[in-house]
Amino acid sequence: MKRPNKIEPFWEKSQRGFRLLGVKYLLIAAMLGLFSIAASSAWAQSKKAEGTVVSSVDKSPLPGVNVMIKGTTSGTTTNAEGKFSLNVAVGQELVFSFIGFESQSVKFEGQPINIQLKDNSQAINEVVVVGYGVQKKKLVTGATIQVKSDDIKSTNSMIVGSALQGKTPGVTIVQTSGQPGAAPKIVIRGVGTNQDSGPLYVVDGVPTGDINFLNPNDIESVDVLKDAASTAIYGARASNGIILVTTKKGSYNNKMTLSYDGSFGVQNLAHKVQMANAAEYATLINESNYNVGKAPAFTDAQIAAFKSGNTPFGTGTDWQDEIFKKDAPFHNHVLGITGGNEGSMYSSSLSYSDQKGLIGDKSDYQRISFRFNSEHKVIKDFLKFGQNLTYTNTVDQGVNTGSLYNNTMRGMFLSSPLCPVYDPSTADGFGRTIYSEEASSNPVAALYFKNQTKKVWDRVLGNAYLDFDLLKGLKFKTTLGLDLSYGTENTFIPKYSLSLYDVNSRSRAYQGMSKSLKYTIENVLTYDYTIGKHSFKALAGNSIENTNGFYVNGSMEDLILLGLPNAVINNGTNQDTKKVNGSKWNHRLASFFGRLNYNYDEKYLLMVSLRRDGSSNFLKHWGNFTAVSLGWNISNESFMEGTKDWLSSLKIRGGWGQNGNQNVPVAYPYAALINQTGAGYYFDGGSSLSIGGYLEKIPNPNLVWETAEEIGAGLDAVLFNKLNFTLDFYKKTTKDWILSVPVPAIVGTGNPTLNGGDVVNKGFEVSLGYHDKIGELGYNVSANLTYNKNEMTNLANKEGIIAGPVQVGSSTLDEMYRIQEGHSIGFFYGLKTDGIFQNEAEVKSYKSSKGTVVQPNAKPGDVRFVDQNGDGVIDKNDKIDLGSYLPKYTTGFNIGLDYKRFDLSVNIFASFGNKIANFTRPFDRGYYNYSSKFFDRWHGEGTSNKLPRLTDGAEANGNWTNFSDLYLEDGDYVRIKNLNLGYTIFSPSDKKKFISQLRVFVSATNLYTFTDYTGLDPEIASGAPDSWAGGVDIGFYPQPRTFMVGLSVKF
Amino acid sequence: MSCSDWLDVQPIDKLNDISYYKTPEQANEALAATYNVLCWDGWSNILFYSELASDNCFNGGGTGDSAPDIDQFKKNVDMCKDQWVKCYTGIFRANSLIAKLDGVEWGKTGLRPVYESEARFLRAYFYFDLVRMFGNVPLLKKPLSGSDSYAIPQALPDSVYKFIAQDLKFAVANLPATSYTSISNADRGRVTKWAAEALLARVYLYYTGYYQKSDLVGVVSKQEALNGLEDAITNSGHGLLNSYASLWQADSKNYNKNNKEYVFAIKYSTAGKGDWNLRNGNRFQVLVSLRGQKIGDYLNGWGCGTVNAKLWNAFDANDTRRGASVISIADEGLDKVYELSDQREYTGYFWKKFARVKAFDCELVGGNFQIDNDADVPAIRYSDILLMAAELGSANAQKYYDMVRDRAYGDDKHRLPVTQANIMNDRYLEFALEGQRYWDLLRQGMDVTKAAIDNSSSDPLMNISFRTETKGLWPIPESQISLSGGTLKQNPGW
Repeated sequence: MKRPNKIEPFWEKSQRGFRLLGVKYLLIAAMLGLFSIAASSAWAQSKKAEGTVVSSVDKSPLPGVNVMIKGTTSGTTTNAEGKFSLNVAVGQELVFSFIGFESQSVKFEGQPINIQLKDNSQAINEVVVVGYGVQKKKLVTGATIQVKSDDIKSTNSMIVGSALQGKTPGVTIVQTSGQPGAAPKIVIRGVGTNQDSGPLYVVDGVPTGDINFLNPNDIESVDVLKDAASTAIYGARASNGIILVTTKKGSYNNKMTLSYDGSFGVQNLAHKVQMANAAEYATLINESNYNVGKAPAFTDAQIAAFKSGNTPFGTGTDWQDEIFKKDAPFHNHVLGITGGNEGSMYSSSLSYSDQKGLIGDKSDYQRISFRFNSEHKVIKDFLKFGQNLTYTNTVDQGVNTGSLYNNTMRGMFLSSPLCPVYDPSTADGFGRTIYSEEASSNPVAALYFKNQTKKVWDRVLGNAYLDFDLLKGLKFKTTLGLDLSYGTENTFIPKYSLSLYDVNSRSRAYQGMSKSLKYTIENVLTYDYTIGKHSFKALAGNSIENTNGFYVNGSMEDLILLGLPNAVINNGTNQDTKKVNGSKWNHRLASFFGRLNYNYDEKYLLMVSLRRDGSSNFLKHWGNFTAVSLGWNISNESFMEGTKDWLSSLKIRGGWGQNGNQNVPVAYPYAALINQTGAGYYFDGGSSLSIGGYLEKIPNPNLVWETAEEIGAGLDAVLFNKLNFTLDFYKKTTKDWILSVPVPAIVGTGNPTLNGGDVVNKGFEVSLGYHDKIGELGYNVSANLTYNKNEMTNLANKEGIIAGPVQVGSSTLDEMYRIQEGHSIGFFYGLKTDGIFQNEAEVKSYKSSKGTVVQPNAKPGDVRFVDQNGDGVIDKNDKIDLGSYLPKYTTGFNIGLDYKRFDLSVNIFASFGNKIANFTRPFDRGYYNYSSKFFDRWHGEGTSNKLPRLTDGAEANGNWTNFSDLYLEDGDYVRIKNLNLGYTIFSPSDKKKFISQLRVFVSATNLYTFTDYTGLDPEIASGAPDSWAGGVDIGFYPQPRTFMVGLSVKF
Repeated sequence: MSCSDWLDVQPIDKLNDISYYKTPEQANEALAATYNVLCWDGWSNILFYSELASDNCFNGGGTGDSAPDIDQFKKNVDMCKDQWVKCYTGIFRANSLIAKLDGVEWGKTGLRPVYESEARFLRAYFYFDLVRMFGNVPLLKKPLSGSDSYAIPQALPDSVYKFIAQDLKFAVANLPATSYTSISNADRGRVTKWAAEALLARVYLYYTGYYQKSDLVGVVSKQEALNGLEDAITNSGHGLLNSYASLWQADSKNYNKNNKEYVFAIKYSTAGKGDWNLRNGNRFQVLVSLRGQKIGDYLNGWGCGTVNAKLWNAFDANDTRRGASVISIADEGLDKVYELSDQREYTGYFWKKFARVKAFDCELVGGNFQIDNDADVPAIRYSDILLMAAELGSANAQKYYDMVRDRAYGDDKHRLPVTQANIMNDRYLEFALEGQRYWDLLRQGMDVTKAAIDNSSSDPLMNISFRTETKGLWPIPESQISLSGGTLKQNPGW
């Protein structure tokens, strides 16, 4: 099995070298630039102030506390013993600040300064981000959750969404693919729509559809608004929840810090599926042939040869070994600079990431990002100007996965082992199967010839604002936001001939581009007013959003130069094959919103919000969305004084709200549009086309947004200042689903888009956290649990069903999932099985109440299906709910330990109660390979009561063409998602001259998964053609197991 | 500008139905879009499917392919859905135009009755395919709107046939009597008065045969049906080609797709150039072409629909129709070069009509061999008009019958008396592999059909038993029954 020398074309080598070189120079240049800025800030010399900072709670020393001379950028941080020393002029003021503690300032009188900082780490005075502002966590009445930068960073994930998994109760995060750069599917409080159920993302106030292009290192905090009370202020886009992202900002009067974070790792396949080898395969095929009355395909002599390995494919090609790469590398570098003086603050970063995929030589994801955030006091105490700006460039070369056809992963399981990977005697150097019945391609060859697509995205996201302090308590902020996304795609399709069906006789280049530009203008007026113990905070604003997009693409065949770098249209020579497409689109949204927060002595809390949205997606533009919520800080009551020593805080809260979903599955659902492309006729049977025109869909001018109405209640408690507890209950009803339901084909044209469908999501979330110290060992433990139950309560069409598609898992499979009243959305819909008929007598004795044989066509070894309706025949009327792809429970478990200079964190994620339909062995073709699971098939009386006899899939009993629980497996898993061990070589207390902090770490991701699922990876987001369905494994790119080393340094 | 105006976003590359259907040109576009649906197929091609169901061929294809369904009258997942969708799409497009005819500014063009006739002919054509295939189908006389219920029950076959007959009678009455010679090639694919007369007779024969009725639901009598055919024979300008073989691409030197014998043909083009979104190429040619090999004059395909030796043997050796209709691997001397490979249900015979041939290789003009072939499919040939007229008892029955046989043999020495049995046997041979056989059997009754189709073979895939309980109807697609909420009822036997 030698690999021919000339497999990798020359153009790829040269291109790769050039790209890396370019990036390297860019990074060096940027680093030099940042160093020169750092060097220019002088190290001031003065008199020495010394002292110790301790916590007011347990008087333990606090290391790492910022000590700044007020009005300057000079300062220091405390060492491990809480001590500091700093040159200060007598009379200057020192400001002590530390995350989780209240800041204090003290005038330097020449004496040692000993400070007790008040602990507010119990999240009482923490500030969280809410819609159009921030709020003290203590005063929040909605269900929100905040994840801080350290928790995001500790996962070492390149994708923000993935970093949140297991840390956000109420938010279900499932990886869609292990492909580098792939985004996870994020659902907040249950699937509430048949459309995209992902939340709205708001980055520094700019609404956007995606955050996965952001560098996780740039993020200060992620705040998830889960309930309608919190999200209603975002109106017609809020029904799936909101994720607010705040990027890192500088701070005024803070010395400049330069930082570098870098990591390098290797990725490997975590789990392999054992497939039959050549001899086993041949034996199973012969058995299958025997069972259907066909002659054996392989002789005993052949099988003996397969066993001995004296074949071009040894004892059988293991396609997983051939396709999955070993030690696929990735590396990640982030340079950051942050700081501020009296008049300005800034925070910038430059990052570069490169991750190779597990599959294929070309699979790769690269990202370069640049962030620049700053704010300036233009007129002191009156006007601030600021901007947040992120530019990202991603280059993505993936492999095809996901669909039934042209799926790299499927070939790995379906192709027989009777095929050498390489064969110098063939024209392309790749081996061909020796089994004449097999019509599938050599999967390594398919991987090589296909999958030649490169996508480049440029994203600019950010805003610029003016912030006015008009009067005491009265502020006005006007913001111009920008979300630009510009993408290009090039695809090269070479000539190939892999099998009878898999032929491409002409080379083709495809080139396309698309752009989407959204600008937002937002004006917000806020007024804070306190009289006695009454506090009011009022907000009123308006915004408009205008999004313009276009795409153009084209292709041409018969290329002059071959290869992906040459995949441009003009490289084609055959004008007859030139194709071009292009269009543009526009979406507009106009909004007015207001909110009132009131509290009495921080005890009784009230929030009311109102939003009016006008959307261009509907002919009836306008909709109103309101919310009310209440809270009660019980621990602030005087009658609770007696519990103070153990009950640090207790709050109950509850709310009601309405919000919407304005997404529509087709453009202009209200308009009766005429399609004049692709519908013409050649009356001469030659080349003279008469254009055709037809009404492309049934219009619906009455369409309106989906409405979600939610009621919820929660409780936040802190005990002994150490144990945090949060509990939330909710019931969310989403009404007026926007459905593009398949209608009977008698309609004769595209489906109308309708309102009609109610779903209820009910559930609870609970989280517990505890932190303490035993001597020098600090530890924190947290756990959370999410439970959600999803049920369709109403569907507008007559039978209360949205039927799912057929042929999802194989070309001969019937409907397998659907939406139906009284069931969970996308539930598995199939026959229930009841073992295997062991002999003819069992077939004969399986009778209906009328005495007829229920499965007269069954043979021994076939599946016994349950006749649910007792009518004596097995048909689609016997199909039932076989379970849901949605987990009942998900849970996260996080442990953090620190001892002296060591720190360790472990991150565990688990998911329970869902099913997965395993289609990695479909039954529409006899020749597919078998996994070792099928070694336990029925092959004679008493051999199995679980898996039927092998056939080519055409047996009369329909063992595998009827969707049944035979396909379903439990999807439960527990995954050690992250393990991090760090050592701090230099801490600020070491007072190294040019380095303030240096930490090195080793880390493992996806270390081990406990599961009974027999496929590659139980974490399967979808695989189904409908966004509301999932748990369909038709060949899924598994998540790699990663080991990495890294360092983090601050200057 | 108010805020609400700012929110009114208009489509930029599409008209809507308020501004459309206004000019005769737009009416012609709506018509072209209806003709377009005639080309929709592939594996689901109705002609091909009916030949599989008949005694003319077996499923064929590759040994690894899915098991034969319609060939063995076995149900498969969502079987016949494409055929169902195709017909209702065509009906919708015809209905849309017909409903808007009053709003078109026709001026003095005189096109309205012509366009209406064409639309109604096409509607009848699609309904006739539907009702023959499925028997019990919903009858939609106008397009459904957003507020209508889509759960429409199946109509009685009689009401569907009545609707078809009325549409065709309208077309016969309103289409101009333009002779073949006066029609330019640019309009060759359009429906003519003669096509309408012929289709009406075909519907008459099928309905009265299959349902054992004496006339076409009280709308068309036997005499009326015959009169139409006689009119077409006398006045159409159509006629028989001298050479039967020259009707097909395989006779590449003499083939002319706009020939005078094609009374109504579905027109295909190579101009799609590999674009799977376009449907103007003939997509079933690749199915019936030789599996994976280019030998002799023939190009490669999937080797589906292997031809039953019975068909080859039914021809007299002197009948030119035999060699023009069927490739015999042995008789054409290809057995030395033919590679069996993974061909399933090999019989030694393949389709010659519609086989891909080197002289018409669409790949040479930028096409994709799977979807851009361009053999036209004659839905109605002049010889059909002659044989139907003979069957309906024309005074010239013997003459018409002789014309067909004389052309087939190239002489007048093989004449037979014009009996019903002889006509049916010649229809079997004359229209072999043209999608007529299955329906011609069905209209002779279940016994005749079963006797013809049943086949015993040592190969289980070629062991075929026609299931009379189905009455020859095909299953209502399962997905459509689901979508109708059970309003649609499955046909007996499925």
